[in-house]
Amino acid sequence: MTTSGVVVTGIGVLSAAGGRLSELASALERGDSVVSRIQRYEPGDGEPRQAAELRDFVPESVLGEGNYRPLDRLGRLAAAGARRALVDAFGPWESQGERTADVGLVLGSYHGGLETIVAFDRRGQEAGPLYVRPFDFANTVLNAAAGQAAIQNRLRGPNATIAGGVVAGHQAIALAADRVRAGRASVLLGGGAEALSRDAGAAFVAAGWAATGDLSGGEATPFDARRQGFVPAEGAAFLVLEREEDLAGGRRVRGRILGHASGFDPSRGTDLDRASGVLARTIGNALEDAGLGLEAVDLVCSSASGVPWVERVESAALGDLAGGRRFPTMAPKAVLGEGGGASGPWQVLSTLASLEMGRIPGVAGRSVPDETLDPALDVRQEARVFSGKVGLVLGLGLDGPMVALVVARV
Amino acid sequence: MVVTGVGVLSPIGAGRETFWNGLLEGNSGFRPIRSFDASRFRVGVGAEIPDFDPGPWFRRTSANEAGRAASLALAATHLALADAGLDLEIFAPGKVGVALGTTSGEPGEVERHVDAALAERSSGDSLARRYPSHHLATTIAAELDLEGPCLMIPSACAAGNYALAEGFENVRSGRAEVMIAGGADAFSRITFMGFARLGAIAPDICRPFDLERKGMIPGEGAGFLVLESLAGARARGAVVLAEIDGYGLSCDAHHMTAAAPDGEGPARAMTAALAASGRNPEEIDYVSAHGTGTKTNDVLETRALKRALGTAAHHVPISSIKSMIGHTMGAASALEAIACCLAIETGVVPPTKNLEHPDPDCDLDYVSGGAREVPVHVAMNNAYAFGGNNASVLFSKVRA
Repeated sequence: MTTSGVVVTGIGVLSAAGGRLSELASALERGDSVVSRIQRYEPGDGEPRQAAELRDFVPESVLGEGNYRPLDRLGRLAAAGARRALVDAFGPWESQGERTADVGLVLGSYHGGLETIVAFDRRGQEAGPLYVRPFDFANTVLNAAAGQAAIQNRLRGPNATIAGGVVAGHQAIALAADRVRAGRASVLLGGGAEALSRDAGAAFVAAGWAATGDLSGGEATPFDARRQGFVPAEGAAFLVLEREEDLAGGRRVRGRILGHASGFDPSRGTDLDRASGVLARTIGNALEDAGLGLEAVDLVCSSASGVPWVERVESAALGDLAGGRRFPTMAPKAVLGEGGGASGPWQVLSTLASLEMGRIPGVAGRSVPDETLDPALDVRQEARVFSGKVGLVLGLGLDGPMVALVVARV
Repeated sequence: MVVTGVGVLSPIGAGRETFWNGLLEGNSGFRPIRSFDASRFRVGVGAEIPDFDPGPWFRRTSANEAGRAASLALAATHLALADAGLDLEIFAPGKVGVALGTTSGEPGEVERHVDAALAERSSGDSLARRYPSHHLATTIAAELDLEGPCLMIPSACAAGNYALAEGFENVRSGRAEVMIAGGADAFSRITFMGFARLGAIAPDICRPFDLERKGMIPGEGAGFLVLESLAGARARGAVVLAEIDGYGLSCDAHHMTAAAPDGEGPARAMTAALAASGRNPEEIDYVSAHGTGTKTNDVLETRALKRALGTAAHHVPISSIKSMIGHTMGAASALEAIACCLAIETGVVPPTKNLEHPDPDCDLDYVSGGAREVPVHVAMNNAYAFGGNNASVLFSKVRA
């Protein structure tokens, strides 16, 4: 089975680093800090105080005037991210007529509309079940964001939601690519969205996954020996995926999805040897799916976020596979934060941008390298020039799921 | 692509035989709600699974690490594997995976979090570890020590069919040799509150397609099917229940909770499933309807069936087992898929219970009056969800 022939024809991004791929790439190149003190709510004790937060986001700026009251924040991010991708691929979406009927969407998210669900139940408990709002209930179902994105963009093709923790977006892209390749759909958006959730943030800290404090000491810097966890982020990103042979003349191709594979670590993040073995096999399967060998990989996009486990597993897996070779490695979450379902598409887009520009962003702020990691992942603090075509995008879940995507520049 | 085993946890009982016999006998799973205080609601009947003990189903991991939906899912998975006679040890690492669907994941974790917050206590890390709905899939994969695909598709009330589609594709593509696919949901006050606020819950029983129907009865459950290639099944001497011919998906893109009135989206999913299967409407011998028992769904579904199946819609027996087990949310279409497989195996279709007053707007053969002997070679399973997610899956008697 191969997903070769699947191309990216449109890109839509919403992130604290910007809403254009060029802005994302520039932020990574410069190592910009897009993390700041959370403004949407006042963090309490035991909660992250900083996040890569989307400030001043209003859906009208992307979707135009309309009634967005029925949508919660996640639904608005998803709808806007999808619209950006559609416009990038096809031009003004309002003038596309019946074309919209053939377009579907696969959306990945870590915890969906958790903020909405918590508020809905809390209101029911405090005020009584007669006082909850019906359209809030609609947003409590886990496929709400995908449904809202479809409604706002008139997408009547296959619509699916993937829940996979921090690899939900990677899984969504993989599923969408497979369906396009198999002819189940002619155009699918694959990607994800995540909205900041105070309740999730506190839980992430309690789980030992999110860093707290002002983060000035490398507490959330991937590959830094001082790292303690990730910085939460919110946003959305989608790729428009089509089969290259079906493209009409003149359609622009932004990148290629050559192959993918997924796996699961049954130790759920407790057994390094087990996890790295599964990841190594997953990488091998992804490359086989792409019809490539490990020697074809020019760039690795790590899913490192500041949670030490992720880097240990990735470096061990590639160390076992590489036979001494070192892979130029980028870590977009060092700038973008951990965006849950949005992280997968952010990683893919960052990789394509790096391959296109011939520059690998460094991990800004990584001033104390973790020398215990296998050196297979060649991570630098500064950006560097390189030449390559193929990128290996890794998604490593904190509780077992993992994905490897093989992408290439045009 | 074939089904070699099924596992059921349902409001009318656990296990394939109990479930099927209960459906054919018209057993009801509707009872006064016990899992939370429903006194503040105007309705109070649900389809809960009484006295479920998760402990015995966990051998490698701990029931204390799992929520109720994950526990129901695991129990049904074990039953499906036993039914399939499947020894997981014979497969290479990474070649067995899971694909699950759900509507709400583990809403009980949100409820505990809210209760804790109202009492000014912390709920710890449960919203990070047990709430995210992929926890259901990882619970199964960890317990069974599986390293293959681990997928969670929370496509609400059509999620079971979506999971079957994913299982189908992963085996067909060779990414897995076996996929355990299905759906699960646990009864919750959040879900009950939401449907009650929409005015969608019936006060006593569920009467799909009946003129006097008053709504759905929320429920809980888990249904899982073991999917593998026909060649693989035959090689290990497995008994094949049914074949999955194909599936179709569509989206209304109309409204989050209300289907488009013309039934076009559901009809398109049915048509796509037929096309993918290489079949025409006249070949369908049984349809498992979504049939929630709400005024709106049942009329729209009738309209969609006519639109997709044409004249064949007027001849094929169609029934809704939600009339007996309620609406088990993400488990619904998985349990209904199991009913399709068992209808194929036995040549009997379950009834739409409580259908006593014909509705002129639901004028198809909805199998009132009890189970019916019907040779079933091809069965269609339909499911429709919030967000306009529509899914149809076709099953058939396995070819000789």
